Amino acid sequence: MDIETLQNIASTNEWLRLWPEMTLAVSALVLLLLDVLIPARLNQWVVRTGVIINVGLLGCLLADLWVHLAGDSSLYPVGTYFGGLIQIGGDAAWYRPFFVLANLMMFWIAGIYFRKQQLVRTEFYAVANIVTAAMMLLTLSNHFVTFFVALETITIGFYVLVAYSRRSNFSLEAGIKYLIIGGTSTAILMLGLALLYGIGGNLQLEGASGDPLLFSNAATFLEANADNIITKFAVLAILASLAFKIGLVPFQIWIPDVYQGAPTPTTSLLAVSSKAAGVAALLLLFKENGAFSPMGEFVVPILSIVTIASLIYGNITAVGYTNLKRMLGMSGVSHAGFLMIAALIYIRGDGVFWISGAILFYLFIYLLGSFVTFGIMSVISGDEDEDQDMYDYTGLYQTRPFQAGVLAIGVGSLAGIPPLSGFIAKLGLFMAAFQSEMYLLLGTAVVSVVISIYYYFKWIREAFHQDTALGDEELDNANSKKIFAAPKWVDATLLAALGLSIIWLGFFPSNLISSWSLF
Amino acid sequence: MLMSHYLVVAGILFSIGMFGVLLRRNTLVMLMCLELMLNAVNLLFVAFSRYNLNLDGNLFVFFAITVAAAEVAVGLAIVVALFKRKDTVQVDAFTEMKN
Repeated sequence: MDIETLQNIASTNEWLRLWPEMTLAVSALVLLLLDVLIPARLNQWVVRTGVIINVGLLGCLLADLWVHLAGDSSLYPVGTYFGGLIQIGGDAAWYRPFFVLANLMMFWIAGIYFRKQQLVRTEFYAVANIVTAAMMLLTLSNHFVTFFVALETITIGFYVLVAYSRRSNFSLEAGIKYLIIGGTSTAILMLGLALLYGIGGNLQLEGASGDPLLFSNAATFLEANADNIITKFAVLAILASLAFKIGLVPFQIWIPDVYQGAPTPTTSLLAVSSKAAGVAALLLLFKENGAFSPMGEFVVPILSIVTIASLIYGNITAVGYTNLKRMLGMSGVSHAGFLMIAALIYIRGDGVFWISGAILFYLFIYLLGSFVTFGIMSVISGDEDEDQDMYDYTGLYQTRPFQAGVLAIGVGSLAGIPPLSGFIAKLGLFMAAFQSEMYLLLGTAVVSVVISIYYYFKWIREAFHQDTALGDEELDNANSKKIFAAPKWVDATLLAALGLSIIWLGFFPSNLISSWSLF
Repeated sequence: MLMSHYLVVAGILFSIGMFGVLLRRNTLVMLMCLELMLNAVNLLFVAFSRYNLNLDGNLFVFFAITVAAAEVAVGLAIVVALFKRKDTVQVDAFTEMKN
């Protein structure tokens, strides 16, 4: 490689293109530094600095998105940078603000959580910022090295976040389980990458190139060698690691235990951001001219089976759980199944042009519904974070009607009840599945919605009804034992805002949808 | 040595690691088996890199080693914290969570 080639590559290192990721990563370091420098009585300002940085970043990213949508390419240049490692453009403009919003919501839930736990705080926010930055980087990756490093930064950050509550046996147990299963998935991902690198770099084969891990080179190679057994194995191994992140069925083993043991803010971030990052990475690999796009015909049948299994297994297992964090974990598996239906339509690429918009809409509504639910859970739960049972909510409506109402909105939206926006999100996916004639998947999805209504409404029923078998006096006794804490005004405002936006988007989805040219 | 020799060794190492994670009951041994799997893949990368006369594989190994180091640092920290609470690192002791 002569000096001129190196200079050409170096000239593509435009660091300013990564300003949101760099802001988050630097802010993580700033938080840790502030924690040391600031006197103890001003300690709360450390976390507030983190919130301010994230709010500012979210605002900038939304402005960025607006510029992107306006289509002025001089302000929003699309292209590859860092010698092909990073590609700016496509859906990343949507996923960046999505991850920052999820991070902010997680900050809010972490604030409620840390009021009830005796733990150091700053490191949690710092690691969460780094994980979010890595998720944003993952959606920008254009080379399997970037892909690998971003995915592993997310995973290792989550090991820390899951095991964060060092005084809780449950959190540590969840941490070690997540670590061992996650480490295995890392090894499988690396095995897939090594095989792809080895066979794609073998210049005796057609389509091979010197840098087979670059997405476009991988696509060229897979196009020419789609029937090779080693490439098939490599593709499946790489997809398996993504399925682990999304929580699809053969790789869902970790979900109930890790969701239950992890601190509630970590659980919410696992449920929303980690799933979204996995789906975004999957779409990235299978986009037009994406790395795996020539393998579409090979993976669609396998992924269809995985999708159906996720929908059915997730919902049926969730029926049996009364621990809410376990139940939300398994219902998350079925939500991953819904997202996979859309991803399958995307992979097949047969004409439903608005499908990536429908996926974004579903993810956004899932974010709102999840964070409302997790918000209510952290407001109501005591200091035993892992022990949040459905039957703790009996009689919530009688003492705290506001919380019960918001809970009903959030859970109803997750279940997909009209007129809440969760219904519109599911409707979009169903219409897409109908248009591309995937009737078996559509039927499974409809059945699984019906099952999910059963366990979601069991929870709502507990919150709204009292045990009528008791007499009046016993009822008063039972009620007086249960003291549901009143939310602070910040929590109440945010809960109300989230609940209202769920209703509003249910009635007027066009405000969001039209910007994605969905219908 | 032929390429196939490296492939076989890497395959054996990876299998030992995988079965170790699945079958062993000691958390520390399981962490070591995870490392064994990652090192098997590193061997694969270096061997392919030499065979294809292309340095990218060697480069990838640096990233892989860094990731493995970070993973083991977090893993050992969790194991130490668990050992302080439970006085054992056998996985059979970590079964508190159920519905």
